[in-house]
This record gives sequence, structure tokens and C-alpha cells, in this order.
Amino acid sequence: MDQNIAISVEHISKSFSIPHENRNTLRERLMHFRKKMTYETFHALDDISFEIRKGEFFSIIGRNGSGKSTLLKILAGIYTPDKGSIRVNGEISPFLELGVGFNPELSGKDNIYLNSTILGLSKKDIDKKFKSIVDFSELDQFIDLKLKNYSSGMQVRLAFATAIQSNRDILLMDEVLAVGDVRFQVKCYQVFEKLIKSGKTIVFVSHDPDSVQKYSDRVLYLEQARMAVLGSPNEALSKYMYSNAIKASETTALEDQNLFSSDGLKDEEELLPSITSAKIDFFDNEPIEKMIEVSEVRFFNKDDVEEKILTHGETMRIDVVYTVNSTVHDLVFKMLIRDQLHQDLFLSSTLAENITTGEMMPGKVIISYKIPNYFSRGKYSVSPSVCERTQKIYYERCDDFASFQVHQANPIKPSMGFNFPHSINLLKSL
Amino acid sequence: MKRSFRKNLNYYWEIIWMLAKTDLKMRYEGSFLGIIWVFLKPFGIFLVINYVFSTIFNNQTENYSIKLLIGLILFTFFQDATTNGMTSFVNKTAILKKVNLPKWIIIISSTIHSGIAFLFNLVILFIFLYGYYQIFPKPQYVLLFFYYVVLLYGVTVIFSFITAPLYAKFRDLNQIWEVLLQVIFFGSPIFYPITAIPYPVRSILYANPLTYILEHSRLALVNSSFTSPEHHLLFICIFIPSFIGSLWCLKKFSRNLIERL
Repeated sequence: MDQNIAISVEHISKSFSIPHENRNTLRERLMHFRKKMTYETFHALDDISFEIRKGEFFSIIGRNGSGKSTLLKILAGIYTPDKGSIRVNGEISPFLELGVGFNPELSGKDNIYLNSTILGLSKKDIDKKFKSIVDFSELDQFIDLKLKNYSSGMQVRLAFATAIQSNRDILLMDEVLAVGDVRFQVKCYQVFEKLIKSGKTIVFVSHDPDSVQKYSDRVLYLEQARMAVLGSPNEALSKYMYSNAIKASETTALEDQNLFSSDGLKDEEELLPSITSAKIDFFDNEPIEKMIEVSEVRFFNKDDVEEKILTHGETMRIDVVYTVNSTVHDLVFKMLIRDQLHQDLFLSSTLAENITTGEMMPGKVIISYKIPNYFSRGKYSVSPSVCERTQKIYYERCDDFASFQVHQANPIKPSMGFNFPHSINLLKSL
Repeated sequence: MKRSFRKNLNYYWEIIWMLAKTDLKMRYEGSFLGIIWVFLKPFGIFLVINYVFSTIFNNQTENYSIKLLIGLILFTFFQDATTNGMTSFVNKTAILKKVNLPKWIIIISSTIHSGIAFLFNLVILFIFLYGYYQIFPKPQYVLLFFYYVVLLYGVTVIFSFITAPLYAKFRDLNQIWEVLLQVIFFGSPIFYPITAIPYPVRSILYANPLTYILEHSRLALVNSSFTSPEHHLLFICIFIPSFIGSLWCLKKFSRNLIERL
């Protein structure tokens, strides 16, 4: 085996047999000994091969159930693969998730000792490192408290502080940064940097693209038990995020329907506390037929092709289709765009743009918006509304009527609010 | 992989000791009487049985009570260690699922705290033996007694190696074992001497490994005697292959064990 290779994985497959009916006791087995047990076979990994070089930061990403944790468990030697072989060059850390042997009934101190021992430190080593572990975790005053009294953030801090003391050549980490506050995450990254500098091989499993992007030399993207991409972080992550966006838009379509069908008038009032009572009066007087209503919202990419996933940086078009039921005059059309956290990002109003609508006869009206897409990646909802000129009475107000998804090719950009094109000048005074 | 054997052994020992210590803490720290529980079990039963047989039935067997006490302490250890050993994989699921440790470590560490409780009891036993009963066995017989203790521990380990992975599959094994332990309690010469049993039945009792260990450890401690070497030879002849067999069972049954936990 090449001396520069830390782990070599060849054609690994793993499947689990899940019995339809759990027979966990001898009594049940004896009672039904004639009935054959039936199984559902679940393929967790299918023909996986790769090599990890020494000193490499190797990430494995994939959605839940894609097999990444199973793969890590096989690397750690906890599961045995059905087919294929693994060769490991060097000592592999036995630890996978944080808080391996953590016992809620023991004090923080006892847990440090227990966990470090499992990680392979001797009593003497732990005595020496104990202070630095406590310092790193910032839990001085709580160290004699039982672990069950810790908050989850405190537990993670303690676990990470302990885990990084393991002095093995190859470290396996599963979703280590999933929890913990921002300040502690920064600290963790500093540790990663130190570990990388000291030449350790790190295998990192996550579904968070940002942390993967930051440190990985190479990324393996698993999709439904198979290797989808093995290559540079950019290559793997953009594929990962693109397929994520597609998956999300499929589920959003369903959610939209549910939202729409269950969205009665009363609910609408709850959803939109800012609506004036005038609207309620209006509907109370005339509850049967709306004079004008939203019938459809459509999204188009820069080539005017209808699509629900829009690319960041290109021009996008949103068409809101209204059905006019009886003649109406002087309307104001509005459209609000919100992000996933339900924060208002952008409001367009025909009144503000000085567009007069005049008289509208029964039929269809399309309000078409052209917007440069500077939204960062994520999911956004569109809430169209129509009111009369004084904006006191709303004829129609559809909260989160439709949604679209923004795909961003560069995964390094932060995913919040807007990403405007801009330039940065660095000025240094001498 | 490049770890030397000694370093590995050290590592294993540290883990075994740490896990055993954790078990001890968990078991006794929170409870009101704490470590007293360790003594209460064998000595409580001892007081009852001793009263029933010595006083009510007016038993005239020589040194009956000390023999009873030795039997009870050994049996309590056997009972405790086998139960803990059998359930060890299931009890330590959290660790097994996340760390790749040799399976035997988990089993041994789970039986160790029974061993520690046993050692405490032994101290009391020897205090009784020397102080109250005024029996002073020669040192080589004390050593012989400890040899039987090691064999007894060996039997519990063999049992646990086979049953621990099985228990993951059959979760009612512990209930079955509880009943069997009752049978073994009455089927072993604990509160009666083996000589009280007529012959055809006595040979059946000798199929029970505890019979051999209990009888001979009592002979060593109380009577300072070593008899029937053919028994010892036979026992070792069965013991060693059983141990190897149990290791094989552990390896075979443990395959894909963790997925089942």
C-alpha cells in the first residue's frame, strides 16, 4: 500500500435487513418457529471506492439517509461491510459522534475521564490535559455538576474539548458542528486548522455546505447510497446544492397546496396581524364572491422559461395572474417577497411606481415583474395582494401564495438576504 | 495498528477499569445505603438460612455456618457476574454504537464490578474465618482457594461470552436465566453438603461446574485439604476447550451485532 494513503476503500457495499415483524425474544421465536421471518432490504451503501491521502481534510456530504454515517461507521470498524475491503494506514480514532461514553449521571469531570479513556488516553495523560480541556470548554464552574444538568450547548462544548485531545493519526468526525453557538464554532475551526497543520488526516461528515467548503481538500457527495461526485469542494457542493434545491422545490409544491387549501379567511387574519380590520368588514359584507382574486403565480428564468429554481445573478420574472369577476376601478397591486424565516425582504406596489390601472372588466389580468435576482440561495415566498386606492380595503390578500428557490453556484457566499454585486477595496495606510 | 501489544493491553486495561468504575459509581453512589448493599445480599441470606438450618432443623454438620457463608458469597458473585455479563452489550449500547472496541472488553468490564463487590465480601469472610470461627488455613490452601475463585470467574466469563451476543437477539434470556439461577442455587451444594445427596443424583449435581468449585474451595479453606485430583484434571480438561469455544461463539455471534442493538 502506498505510504501516502491513509485510508483506501474498495468497492464497499452494505445493506441492512429490516424484519417486517420484530421478534426479539426466545418466546416469540418458539411460538412462530414455522413462520419464516420476512425482511425488507435497505441498501445503505452501493459500490463505494475512494482513497484518502495522509494529511487530507476529506469531507463526506449527502442528505439524511444517503449512507454517509454508515460509511463512517464502516471506516471506524463498527460495521462490517457486506462486500469490498478497507485498508487503513495509521491509527484511526475510534470516536465518531461527540459524547461517546457520556453518562448523564456522572459529573462533567468524571465524563472527561471516561471519554478520554475510551479515546485512548492514559490516566496520566488525562491528568495533564485536564485543565486545557476544561479551559477550552469554558465550564470551570460547572465541572463537578452532573452532566444531566448541563444544557445541550454545554455538553457539546465539553465533548468537543475532550474529543480533540485524541492523538490518533486519522480523526473521524460526524456532524460535530451541528450544534453550539457561533463563537464556539469559530474556536472549533481554529482547532481544525491546528489539526490540519499538524498533519492529521480528517474525515468529516456533514450536511452543512458552509463548513465543508471551508476546510475540505476533497469532497465525496453521496446520493442514495451511491457516489455522486468525488472531487473538489466546489464541484461536489454545487452538485449537492443543486439537487437539494430540486428536492426542496418538489416538496414546496406540496406544501403550497396544503397551505392554500387550509388557508381560510380566519387563518389569514392570524397569519397577517398587520391587516386592517377594514378587510374583515369588507368580507363580512360580501363573503360570497370576490371581485378580484389571485389565480396563479408563475416564475420565469432569464430565457423566459418557466422554472421554480432561479439562478442567482440572472434576471427573473414573476407573473401574477388575477381573475377579475366584476368590474373594478383604480386598484393597487402589491407583491411581497419573504424569506424562509418569514421576514419581509421586498415589497413592490403599483402605487409607488405610479402605475394607474383604470377600469378593469371581468377577465384575466397579468401583473408581470422583472427583477434582477440578487437573492441569496434559499427559498422565498410570494404574497400578492390587491387593494383600492386608499389602501384601506383589500380585495385580495394571499399570504405566501407561491414560492421559488434560488440556486447559487458559488457555495462560499453567505446564505442570507441579498447578495449584491459589489467590489471591495482594501486600503492600508503606510 | 502499529501499536505494540503492550500498549494495546494498557489501553484495554484503562478502559476496562474506567468502565467498571463508572458502573460502580452508578450503582452505589446515588443509593441511600451505598456500599452497604454489597454486603447486605449475601449476609442477609446467610442469616436467614443459617437460622433455619442450624437452629430450627438443628443441623449438626461440622462448621456448617462458615461453609454456608463461603458458598453464598461465591454463588452471589456467580449470580451477579453472569447477569451483568449477559446484559453487558445491551447496557453499553451507547458506547458500542460509536466506538470500535473489542467486544470482550465490554463483557469483562461489566463483570469486574461484581468482582469488586465479591472482594469486599471476601474481606468480611476472612475476618469471620479467622476471628469468629478461629480457622486458620495454611497459606497454600488460601492460594488454592483463590485458584478456585479464578476458575469461577472463568466460568462466568465463558457463560457471558456466549450469552451476551445472544441476549441482543433474545431479550427474554435474562428472565430465563433468573429462573435457572434459582434452579442452580438449589442444585448446588450451598446450604447442604454434597455428601448429603445420595449417589445417582449426586453425579447429576457434579455436571454443574459450581458443585466442583464450591465443594473444593470449602475443603481448601475450612478443612485445609486437597482431594480427588482426578476431579481437577477433568475440570481443566473441560474448562479450557469451553473457554476457546466461547471465544469462537463470541466472534461468530458478534458479527453484525451492533446493527441489531
